[in-house]
Amino acid sequence: MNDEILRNNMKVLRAKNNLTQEQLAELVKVTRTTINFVERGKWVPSAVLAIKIARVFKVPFEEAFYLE
Amino acid sequence: MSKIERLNRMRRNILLGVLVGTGIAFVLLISPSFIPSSRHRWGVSLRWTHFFFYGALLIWLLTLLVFIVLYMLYKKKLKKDPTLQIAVNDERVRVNWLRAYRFAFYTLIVITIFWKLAETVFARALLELKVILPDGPWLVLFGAVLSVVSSFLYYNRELKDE
Repeated sequence: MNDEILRNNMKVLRAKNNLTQEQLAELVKVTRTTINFVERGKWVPSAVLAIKIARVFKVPFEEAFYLE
Repeated sequence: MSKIERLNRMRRNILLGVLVGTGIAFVLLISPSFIPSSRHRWGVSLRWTHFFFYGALLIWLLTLLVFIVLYMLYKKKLKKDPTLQIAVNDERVRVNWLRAYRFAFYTLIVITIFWKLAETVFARALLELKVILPDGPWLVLFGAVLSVVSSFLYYNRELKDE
């Protein structure tokens, strides 16, 4: 059984880029609640959304998201 | 507040309104079954039960009417900007709707089983207690609306700050 889960550095990256959850949500075209859920690891985003988020932060995908 | 957030809140408020209105109507609909003085009148002396039944229907129809108008306004705002529509109905929201429908499906199965048992196995016991439930289709209809809306609102809730 695969018990790895997708973690992320979104909170740190958001702080570095001086972005609020609401601003990030607007940039990737989702609701703020979804960003909140993703950030806390309560929702595993689709590949499309995860790539969009990494692009906003201008970092490689692996820097924004990783398996643990 | 961004447009996405405003529309997201608008949808939540509309659904909350539908939930409250439907909940009040549902309580009114089933209350004659549990009010001692009116138990024996259900289906016989129609004055009381009619008051509850039509009262429930009136409240429900008014609720639906008001919130359908608000929902049309919400949809009109979404249609103006297709990107907003995509954002407000993002991947998590779409999955939440599916989860809500699944929850409602199971709820309706439970209601139907419960109602069928009340009608057959427990019919005598309920009759002795003078508890007579409303018609099955009403229970199913109200159960469907209440379970879909409430479960969607639950799945789509805001997370509390840690």
